[in-house]
Amino acid sequence: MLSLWAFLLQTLTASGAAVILLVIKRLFQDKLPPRWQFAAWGILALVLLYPTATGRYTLINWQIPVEVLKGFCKDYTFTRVYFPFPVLTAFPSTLPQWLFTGYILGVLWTAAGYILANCKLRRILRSSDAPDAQTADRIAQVAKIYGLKTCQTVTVDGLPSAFLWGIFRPVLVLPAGTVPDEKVLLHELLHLKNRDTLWSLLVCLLRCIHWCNPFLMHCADLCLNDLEARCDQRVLERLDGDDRRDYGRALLAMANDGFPKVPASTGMHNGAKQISHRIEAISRFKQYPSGMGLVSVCVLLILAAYLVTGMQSNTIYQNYRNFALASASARSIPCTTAAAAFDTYAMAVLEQNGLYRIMCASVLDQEELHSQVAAKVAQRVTPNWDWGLDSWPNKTSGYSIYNLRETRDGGYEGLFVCRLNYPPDGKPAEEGKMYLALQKLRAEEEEGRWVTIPLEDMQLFIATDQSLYRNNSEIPAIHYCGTQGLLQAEAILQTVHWVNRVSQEGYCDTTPRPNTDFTHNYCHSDLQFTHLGTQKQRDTITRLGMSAAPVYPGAEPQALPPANGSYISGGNSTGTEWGGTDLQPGWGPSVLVAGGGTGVGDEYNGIPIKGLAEYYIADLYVNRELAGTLTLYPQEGDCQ
Amino acid sequence: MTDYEKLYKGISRAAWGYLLVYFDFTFNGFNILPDFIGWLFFLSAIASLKEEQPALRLLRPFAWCFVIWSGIQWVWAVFSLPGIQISPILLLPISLAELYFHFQFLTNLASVAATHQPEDAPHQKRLLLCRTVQTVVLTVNTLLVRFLPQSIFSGLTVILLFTHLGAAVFTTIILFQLRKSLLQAQ
Repeated sequence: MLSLWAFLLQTLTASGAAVILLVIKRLFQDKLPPRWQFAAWGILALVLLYPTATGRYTLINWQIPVEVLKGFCKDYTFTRVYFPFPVLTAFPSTLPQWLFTGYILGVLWTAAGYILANCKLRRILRSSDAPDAQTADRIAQVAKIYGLKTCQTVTVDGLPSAFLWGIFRPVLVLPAGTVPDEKVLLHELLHLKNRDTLWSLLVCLLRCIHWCNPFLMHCADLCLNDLEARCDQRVLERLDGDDRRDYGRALLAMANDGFPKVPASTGMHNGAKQISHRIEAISRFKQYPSGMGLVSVCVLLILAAYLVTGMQSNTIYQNYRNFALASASARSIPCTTAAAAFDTYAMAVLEQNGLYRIMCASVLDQEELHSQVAAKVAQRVTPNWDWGLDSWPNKTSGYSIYNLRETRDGGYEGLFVCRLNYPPDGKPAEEGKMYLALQKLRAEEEEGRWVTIPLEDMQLFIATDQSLYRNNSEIPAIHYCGTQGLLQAEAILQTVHWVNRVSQEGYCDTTPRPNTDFTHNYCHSDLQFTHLGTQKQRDTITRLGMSAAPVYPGAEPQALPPANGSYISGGNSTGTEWGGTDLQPGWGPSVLVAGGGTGVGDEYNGIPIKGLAEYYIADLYVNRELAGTLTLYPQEGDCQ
Repeated sequence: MTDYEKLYKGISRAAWGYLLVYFDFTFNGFNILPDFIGWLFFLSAIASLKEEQPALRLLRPFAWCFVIWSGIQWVWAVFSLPGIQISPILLLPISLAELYFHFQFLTNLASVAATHQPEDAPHQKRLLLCRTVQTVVLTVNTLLVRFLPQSIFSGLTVILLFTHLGAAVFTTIILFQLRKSLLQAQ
């Protein structure tokens, strides 16, 4: 945890999990034994040790109130929990940073208290005595009868009750002057066998980290009580009839005594109130249903699955009367995929909705964006986000991302395209023209979420080609070029990705989908020659053919089919194209020899991003003879 | 009422209860085999068998909760009231209680079968098998929903669904068979 906000998120999320856990434990209090009741605390330990994932919650979406508080402090950074413990990375300069520093001091103070208590105890134990012969014999006898190991034992004057202390070399500490009851010894030796001092130490560590959360402190007490109840169960399983009653009497006799509270220790006595609960549990010992092992494990697995992973938040509160809450809810929903970042940006454009834009905006853009949208909301101006053009996007046409490619740093860049209802600036629409908005976009991971960064302003584009989802020849494509002699070979590749938002009835659902993948892509390529020489040189060529295949990053070039036949042309799903054309005198300078496209779609599962080819490998055929093999590399704009 | 009469009544009610709880027959949006009646049958079964199996008393509060919960759901469906989105986390106690209820209930019914049937009678083992299969299937299904991608999930779901259905049918059949053999034993 690197900030106050991360700590709040972690501790409040764990508190939500603890509430659910307590409800479940209460439900099964009389049905599943103390062993299960204690094991259930392991789930809370997992929640506390597992950094809360951004956008996930257990009972209440605490990220929203945390983001609201951050908003009041004008802090629009993303909250992310890296570690389950606090780390101070810089000298504090703002109020939240000072509060975080104060919290860390509290952690250190609490830890220091425990360390001091342990040092005091160690000092006392150094001057303690070994047990007398009778006590030592009794310990050995109990260990032998019940098949348990023993450890170093000491006696201390003035101690109210026995306890076990230490992790690596545990010590059994007994009150001096009395011979301990066999059942008390059995209890402590069972703690030794199960290494319960380790659990006690873990609870202390978690107490240090969450010292200012009284609810979790209470849960820590309950956990240690269940630890003792579990040990009681183990004792009772080894005793019978009268011995069990004697054990209860031994507990009752301790009720008015004090008891030590030292970390990494366990003791039979844990408080008068708890002893009365434990005596009740002893009376219930035989009443737990038997044979519940499988279902108790299943219940724990399901509980762990829900409480550790939490629920994904994906509801934006679009109540603009409370903009702080609305923007906080938008910031609390991260886009978890690159496709979701592009899609959310597209929905922001289609709806001109500033909250959607906040969802996918980079941390650097958050403050300015928040101010702009807040100002418009306060003035009741709609739409509340200026998307860049003075026009309305056409929702029923959806959007597409053209020429999506993965960059070296793991981000993605592409060209956002959507259709406009009418030309911007009030100009009249011309028949046969399609008015588009284009913008180069980048999606990258930032603090565990995908964000969208515009690389340029939104541009108006007027096209006559009416296609939006398949090969619009007027929208920029990627040109792969290579030259051999006077022949320039070119593969023109255009890819389109989109999430289908438009139903068959023409309704566009613009609700953000922060976890979506693209549902469709289409890939089109054309193969083209350009002759760089004179017409006389061109006229010596009567047929040109090309067979070309894309090579993606990390992949090996494929074998190319021949393209020297008269009528053989085609393509396959890997993007390989081949074809040829006869040429008449006077042809040129450019000629298309092959072209085609292929698309895939899966609305249920989504499809992976198909990026751009790194290069093309091409066989050139001149007058039906293989003239050479070229590597075609991508260039900005047309081939030069 | 004699012991065997009580046993017969208890097992009979349990069998009818499972028929109603496991199987729905919806006609015009109206479930004519409402679950809440099945839970009332379970309550009656518990009342009849609690002396034979004292642990069954622990299930009474769960059964009452499910009578109310399934009753509300049935009324909601009958009057076609709009659905309410409830977080799966809030439904978790109900799901876990139901998982536990059926496990313990079937364990206790199997124990009744073991006590009052000949040693070679198959009812106890079969009930325990159905109980185990259903518990494992429900747990695996829940974990799949949480962790695995839908593409894998969709195939496994079908397998789990049919397994659960098979176990449900088998459980009901075994309970009716047990009821019949208790009648003959009486």
